[in-house]
Amino acid sequence: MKTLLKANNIRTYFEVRGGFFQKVQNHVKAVDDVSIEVGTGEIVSIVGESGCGKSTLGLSLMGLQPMNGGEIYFDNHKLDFKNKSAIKSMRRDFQIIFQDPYASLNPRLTIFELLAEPLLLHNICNKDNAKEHVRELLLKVDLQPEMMERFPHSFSGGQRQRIAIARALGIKPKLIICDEIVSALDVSVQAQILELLLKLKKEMNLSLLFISHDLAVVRAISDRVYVMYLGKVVEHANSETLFKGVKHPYTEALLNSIPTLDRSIKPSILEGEVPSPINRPKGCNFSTRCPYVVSKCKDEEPKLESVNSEERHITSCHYPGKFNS
Amino acid sequence: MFSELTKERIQKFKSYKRAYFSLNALLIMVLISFCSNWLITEKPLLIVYDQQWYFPSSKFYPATEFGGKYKTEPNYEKLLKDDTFCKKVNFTLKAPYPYGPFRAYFEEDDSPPYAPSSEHWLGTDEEGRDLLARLIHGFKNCMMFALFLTILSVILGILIGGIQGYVGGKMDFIFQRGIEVWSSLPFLYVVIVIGNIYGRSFWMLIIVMTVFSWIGLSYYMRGEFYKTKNYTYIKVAKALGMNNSRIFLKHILPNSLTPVITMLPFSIMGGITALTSLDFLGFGLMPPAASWGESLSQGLKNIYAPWIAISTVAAMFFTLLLTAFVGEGVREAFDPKGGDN
Amino acid sequence: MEASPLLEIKNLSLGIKTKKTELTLTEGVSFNIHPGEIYGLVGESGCGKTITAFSILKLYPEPGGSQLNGDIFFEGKNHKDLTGKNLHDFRGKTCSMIFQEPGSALNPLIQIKRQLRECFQLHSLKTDDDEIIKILKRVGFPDPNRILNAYPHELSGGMMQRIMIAMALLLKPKLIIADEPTTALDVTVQAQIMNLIEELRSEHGVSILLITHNLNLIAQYADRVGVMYAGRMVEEGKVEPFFNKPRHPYTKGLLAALPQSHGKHFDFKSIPGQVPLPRDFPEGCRFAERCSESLEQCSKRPDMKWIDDQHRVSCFLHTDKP
Repeated sequence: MKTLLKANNIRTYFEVRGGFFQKVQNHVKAVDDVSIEVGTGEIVSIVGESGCGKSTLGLSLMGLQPMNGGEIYFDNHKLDFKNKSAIKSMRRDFQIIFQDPYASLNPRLTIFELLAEPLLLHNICNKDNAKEHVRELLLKVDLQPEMMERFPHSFSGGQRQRIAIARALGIKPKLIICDEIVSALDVSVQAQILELLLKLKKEMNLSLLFISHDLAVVRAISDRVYVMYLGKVVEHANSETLFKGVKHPYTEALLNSIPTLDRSIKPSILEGEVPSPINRPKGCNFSTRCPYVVSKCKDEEPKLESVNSEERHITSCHYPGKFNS
Repeated sequence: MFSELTKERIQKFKSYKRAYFSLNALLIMVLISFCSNWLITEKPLLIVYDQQWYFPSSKFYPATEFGGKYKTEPNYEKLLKDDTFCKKVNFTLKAPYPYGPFRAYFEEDDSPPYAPSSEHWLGTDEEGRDLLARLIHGFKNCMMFALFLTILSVILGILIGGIQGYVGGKMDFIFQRGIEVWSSLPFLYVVIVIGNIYGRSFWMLIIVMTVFSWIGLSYYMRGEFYKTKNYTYIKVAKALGMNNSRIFLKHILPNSLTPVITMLPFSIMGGITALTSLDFLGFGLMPPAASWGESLSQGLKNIYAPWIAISTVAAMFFTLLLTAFVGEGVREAFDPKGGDN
Repeated sequence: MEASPLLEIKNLSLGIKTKKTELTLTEGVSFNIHPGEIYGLVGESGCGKTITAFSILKLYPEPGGSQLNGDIFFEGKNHKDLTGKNLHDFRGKTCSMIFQEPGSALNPLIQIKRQLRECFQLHSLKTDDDEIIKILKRVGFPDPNRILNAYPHELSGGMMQRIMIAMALLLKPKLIIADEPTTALDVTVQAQIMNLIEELRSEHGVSILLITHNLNLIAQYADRVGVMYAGRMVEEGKVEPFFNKPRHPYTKGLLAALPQSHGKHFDFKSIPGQVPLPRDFPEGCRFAERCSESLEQCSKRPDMKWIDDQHRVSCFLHTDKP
């Protein structure tokens, strides 16, 4: 399996301005030196809670959020978002779908116009056969072609997400970034959308970069998982490896906080709040809440190191896995 | 062509009877006033003279055409009373209200202004000109002025405000400071000065006023564009590779037009009031143009002839009232909160 | 638990009537909540759980919402008689609410201390600052004075939700309605908040109506659960046996669609079709068109029958058995 997307040392900072002249006083390090890789036909998930930077990472990879550092290689080509003409053709290869199905569709366009626009823009079809193409796209996402004359407001959240998926698929991308696309949907609808994604992935050999806060969903569909906390990746591994044995205390806490149907397993409580991204803790980012913290954690920032190179399990903790009793 | 949403809003507007009625009334008035050259004029619509067809209210004919001595336009009323002329006349068709705004009428033992009578329904002004004709022709001038002013300001406001909001950053900052300086210029002085240098024609006035009135709308558009450009479907458009002008025109603009539509009626009211005020002060249209401002100032000077002031004020009042009703209806129809979901 | 129930909802039907539309949103919903119990009301969008809960406070959807049928009894008294000052006392004092988005529920322009004191003032009671400090400490603020002087935007989502819980508890209610209290929060914060709610229930003996679409949350924290679908209640029971052996095909389908954090790869299965809209509600069983086990009788509406002591279900597959 070859590498499709390779992002190295991505840094995306937001300026904090203050004072009379609105000078830059500080930086919010939303994404702080993050590197990820996605292979062809692979589903890679990025999981974390609010403020960890996963959505900002997704936007940065798409060029919708300017980065302060780092390089992105897609299919071995370096992406330079400032070179508008080069990027336009590359845009065919990777797309993004967002969380809010009510905000991602222009309310004034019909479904036909919404789906046809990218096709015409990238010369996948012309005005004459656009209708046929749109018809096929709608069928592909299990919607009826008659819907193309209607407007977004007459559809449910689940249907709108399907339309958003159809729109992203139209230009036949190789990679789709899914930014919390099922978080706003009901459980049964979520299951339908996930099944649809998996089906399409198989048919079209798609790669997915799946951003989510829901570990259960991530576990169910991913090949590889990256866990982020406060702008950094704290652990990443193949999905099965990770869930069989987590090595980072945060991942452990995250996994154990989730209530399950088994009432005998009580969710563990992780005390405290996520620290402000402006005033990061010295040393390890997680040191303020880690139940196993020792003095070394507060002084020295741990680096990402391999724990198990066969299974590609990498984590950033001074004592990875040693806290498991 | 209209989206579902627009159709819904039009339906909603129609359900506000007061606004709908006002709109229709205004449209009828506009129609009448724009045809005032044929409906309210002392020149006949048609004279068939010597087996030939003449249309005096539409076309200029020199008096020599009708056996006169000079090449200027004949006084058709006098002409039609002249026996020699009438002998060769086969047919005449007069305008429904046969008095124009520029012809002065004098009576034997009295001086103008003349009180309302069966001939001059609203009387005459101090120069003997029919008041009703002047008011209706004045309405035409006001409305045309207001409409052109509004259209031009809207175009400028959308472009400048939209680009400011969309591009943002330094460009917006500089432009905004520029606009703030510009809007602090005393526009009345500018109008007077320019009017004195370049003459006070209809179009000159429109240009000068437009140059100051686009500012208000640009604030709205700037806000709308700033807000809309962060919407998710705009991010999607960028991700799909659409260029900026396409996003600007096709995606953001149609969704930002609500403040424009709701402002239009009030903009028109502003235009009417602006021209009337300029004319009142004497800095507007050159005489003998029919204008409400001029009639108002006459009305004040001749307060013992109250029909002048009363008719003018009444005309202004009703026009502005009807426009305000339309504006109210538009605002209600476009109100995003008034939904039945 | 044979003590008489705190809240009895009997055959409740809610609907909307405006000039343009006339819809029945919920039909024949019945359940009880006992003192000191956490009752979970679960269902997906459009099932009617939120409007049912709001109707306990006699708040109906705008415009045109109202109670079409049925009765609500609180401590044996009929809600129909609850008007004027009694209704005002009921709302906020006897029965209080925790909302989904704490950020929207708190007034951003008013300091926390004023908003907390307002709880007392609205019910013409003397503000008890000691009580406020006590409650703030209990909900997890070791330094209450700092919080009192803060504004909502200075607090995180978890903190704001704790304030809401404090506000809900201040006047010592008998019933708290928690409408998706943790949906907008991170999962680690959710664990903190739910743990707090559980502890407070034990300490104060207050009953909690927990409304959520998150089945895991119900399984962990609720005592009994009621599942709603398309405006009707389809199954109800004590939590542990309920999740071990659900009976109604919808409940089963919902559980099967749920990926589990301790589950395996690809171990979920969707329910085909969509929830019907209120104007398309069928007369018979509303789940029949999506049900893989539907029978001919499903074109009629199934009654709610008791399967055993604490478990009842509304489905022909189960009600014909003895």
